[in-house]
Parts: sequence; structure tokens; C-alpha cells
Amino acid sequence: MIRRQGMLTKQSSFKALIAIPVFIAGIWMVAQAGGPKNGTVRVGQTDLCIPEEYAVQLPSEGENGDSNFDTSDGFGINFRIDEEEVGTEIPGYHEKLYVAEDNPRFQSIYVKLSPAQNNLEVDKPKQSKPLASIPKLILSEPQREPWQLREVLQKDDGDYRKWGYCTETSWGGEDALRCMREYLEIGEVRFAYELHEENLPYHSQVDKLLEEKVASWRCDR
Amino acid sequence: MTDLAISLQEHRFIKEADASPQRRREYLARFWLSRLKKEDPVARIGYALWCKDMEALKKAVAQGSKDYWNHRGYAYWEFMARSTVANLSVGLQKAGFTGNMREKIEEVGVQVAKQHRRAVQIDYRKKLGKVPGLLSLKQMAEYHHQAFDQFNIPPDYYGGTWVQAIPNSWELEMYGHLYCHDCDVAP
Repeated sequence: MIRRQGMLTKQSSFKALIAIPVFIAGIWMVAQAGGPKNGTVRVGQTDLCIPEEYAVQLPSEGENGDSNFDTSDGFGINFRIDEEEVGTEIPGYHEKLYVAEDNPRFQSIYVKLSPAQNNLEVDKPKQSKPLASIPKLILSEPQREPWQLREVLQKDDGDYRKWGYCTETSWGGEDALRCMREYLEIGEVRFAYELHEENLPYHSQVDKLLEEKVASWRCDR
Repeated sequence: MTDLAISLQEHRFIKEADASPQRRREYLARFWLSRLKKEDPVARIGYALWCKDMEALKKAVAQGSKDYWNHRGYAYWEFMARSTVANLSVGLQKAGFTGNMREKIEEVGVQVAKQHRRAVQIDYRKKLGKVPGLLSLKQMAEYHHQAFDQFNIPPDYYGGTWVQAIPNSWELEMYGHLYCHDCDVAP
């Protein structure tokens, strides 16, 4: 057993001698091809390199040998923008919301990444009820039961595009709307994030902030 | 597998858990027991976390299918629940929280239940993956991150590295000793 381990060690050393120059050449090739910069995480095969301070690693599917779970598309990486940065970039954005005195809920933006589908235009819906104070966002289905997930469309002139979903949820003893912006697509990537009712008026500024971030995170910049 | 849609009763359990701090744990247990009966895999940890005692968990594991419990005994799931509590305690301390840890962990539990409800609703509606309403590990991680974010708990405290950062605080005693020497972690 000991001898076998020794043989393995010799084999490993030999492999390491070969591997080192190959590894160095690999690094050089990635650098020449505009690969991930230091301190960034590349998103799948896209040209997006997210700085490490924003990137959030996800567990890989089936990592724990538990077959009870479903599968899903994604890149294994998401990102989050701290609520203070969002508040600095978007004046008026509520960085904290309170369920009770001295009991804040932090409103950072956690962004889920998945492959884009590029098919977001829909026909005019039968029901069209604008969200309060946000006339461009419309609820396209009636509320049949409490806490029902309701589809939200974005209306621009006469065109309708998928925007996301809203649902009522209890918030400090009362009900409040929480909305999932599910369909922001930039290039090959779909971005999804969540907004509380109080921050819903800033949804287009949040979209813009993400677009700016993504532009600044292009690997070839 | 039964229909994984969120029922009106499950909605009510979450609302009651949110509105009744004194009975929060009881309603969270009822929510996750309902999900357990539908064989929602997330409910194994959810119920282990909030059920009344070890006997209740033991009974649930004995009554469920071995496949559903991933061929692991109740002690394994209890251990997972304890490590989750330890993780949350460390995460909340990291976030600067210094108040009543038990209450705060229960608040996080309500947020996680709400996020689970929404993730299942969206998955069910969009028919994502192979089974509508059945989440993936990725979806589960994402909604935990979203729930943790509201309390400023860093995302790496989900499924993270509590072993390296066990606090000495007494709060962990609420689930008994942190280390489970007799855990049956073997399949």
C-alpha cells in the first residue's frame, strides 16, 4: 500500500512537471483572448466578468447527491448590489424598510442570472389594470385569491412586454406588494430581481443601473 | 408526487407566523409539515428546524418514504437543522445583530417561508424544470440568499462554513448542544 502511494506520488510529480508549462500557456492564451480580469468571475460562455465583490457563487446541481430536487438553467453565479450603493445611485430609493420600529429589512438588489429567451412581446391582455402610481406597469389578470401571483406587463405606447410578477405579502401586520422583475434581458443573459412596493417607482432606474453595471463588466473592456 | 402548488391553508400559516410572534414557530412547523406531506424536498430541513421536538421529527421520518428522506435517519436531519441554526446565528452576528437571537432567527424563518412560497408559485406558474412547483438546488439557494439579504446576512452563510466560525453565544443552546456526537449521517 505504501509502495503504491509512492508510485502515485512519482506519477503525480511527473504530471505536475508537464502540467505547469501547459497551465502557464493556458493563462497566457486566456489573457490574449480577453478572458476574466483579476478579481472577476466569468458568467458561463457570455462576455460578462463580474467583480468578486458583487459575485455570488451558487451550489452546482446534484452536488450533494440528493436526487429529490429539480434541475434549472443558470450559470452558477448571481450577483448582488449593496443597498447603500443602490441608494447612492438612485436618489429616493429606500435602502431600508421597517416592519416595526428598529426592525429594518435591507433592500439590496440580489440579481438572478439565467440564459435570455428574447421573446418578451405579448398580445394586448384582456385585463389591464395599472399599478398604483406606475401607469406603465399593468396587472394583466384579476386577483382571484389572496397572495395570488399576478403577471405584470410593461406597456410602451401600444406594445406590451413581459415584466414580471407581483404578489401581496404580509409586511409588519399589513399587506404590501412585492414584485419580481423577471424579464430584464441584456444580450445573452436574463436578469431577475425583487422590489418592495415602496421601491417599485424606481424600477426603470434599477434596470438602468444593471445595464450600466453589465456594460462596465464586459470581459473585453 | 402530489400537486406541489401552494395551498390557501399554507398561505394562511405563513400569514399567521408573520402576525403572531408568540406562535411563530408553531405556524412555521405547520407550514412545513403541509409541504412535507406533499414531498417538497425543502420541507425536510424546514420541518426539522421548526417542529416541536425530536419525537415529532422522528415520527415524520418514520412515516415518510426512504427515498424522500434521501435514505437518511432523523438524526441526520436534526443535525442539519442544528447546523442551520448555528449558521444563521453566526450570519446574524456578522450582520451586526445583537438582540434576541431566537426571535430574530424565527423572523428569518418567516422570510424564508415567504420566499419559498413565491419561488414555488413562480416555478409552478412557469412550469420550470421537470416538475411544476419542484425547486432545484439553485432556486433554493437563490431564495435563501434573497431572504438573508433582508437581514444583511452574507450569502455565503447559506449552506456555508459554520464549522469555522462557531460562536460561543448561549443562543445556540436553544437547540441543545451544537455538536451531535450520535448523529446517524450514514445513508
